[in-house]
Amino acid sequence: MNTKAEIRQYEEIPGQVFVAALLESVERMSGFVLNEVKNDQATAPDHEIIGAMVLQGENAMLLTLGTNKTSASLLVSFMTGIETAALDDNLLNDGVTELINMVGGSARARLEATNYKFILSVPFTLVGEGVKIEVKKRTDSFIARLVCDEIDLMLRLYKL
Amino acid sequence: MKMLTIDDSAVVRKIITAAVEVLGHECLEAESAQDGLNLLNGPETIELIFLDWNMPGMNGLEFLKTIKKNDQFKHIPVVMVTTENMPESVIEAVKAGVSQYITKPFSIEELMKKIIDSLGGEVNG
Repeated sequence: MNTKAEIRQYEEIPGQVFVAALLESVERMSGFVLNEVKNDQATAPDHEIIGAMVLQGENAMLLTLGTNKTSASLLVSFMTGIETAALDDNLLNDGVTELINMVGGSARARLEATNYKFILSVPFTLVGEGVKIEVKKRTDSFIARLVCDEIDLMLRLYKL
Repeated sequence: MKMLTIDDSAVVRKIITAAVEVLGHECLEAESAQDGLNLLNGPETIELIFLDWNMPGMNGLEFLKTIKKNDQFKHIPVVMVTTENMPESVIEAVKAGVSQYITKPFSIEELMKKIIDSLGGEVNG
């Protein structure tokens, strides 16, 4: 049991912890090494799949991973060894859902002794051309764009 | 040798099946614990089980406890493959009889090593 003094207090959303969890998850599962780049809205592709899960705790958050089918196809293909042409939408959606599940699980362990200790909801997926999540303008959020070749991922955290 | 992967993620089942087949074995797939129990009770002889923890309906730990109480299946080694990475979860699974524990994310090399270890170093069945 951690005493109050041992619990690290984050003033802001600890977004880089989630970025590290995503980098680890993608590299271990697919071999791709992602790089964080400046989030330029003009070059960011529209999302077609958003994996999401709610992180419940003292500081509740919504964790999302947005991407397009091209990126999801490459990731799932390298994860499973199945040719991209043989992957259907269900497998792509499942792959993104599983990735967000791994990111949430890994980040939970990393943040166990902080004020961002949380439990995870079941992961879920939002799909559709140009799918996006709109939140109130004053909602605290964190955003990171990570790329590798044709893979383009957008990690977001919204404080609830 | 026939193995069984139980996971509600089709992608994870495909990854495990691919690794098993590379090692010269066959892998059946179940998307729920109940489907896994049905396969165990079917005609196939299963010699190793890969088991997710968090699944709709019966979860992996409940499945594990169920088969460990069954004289017909309790000898089958079970590899837990899960995002449950807290120490207390690992201890709970080991107490319930799990043979190996892999936390997601995992590399294919790590998975294959666990399979080989579970088979006592045997690659081809």
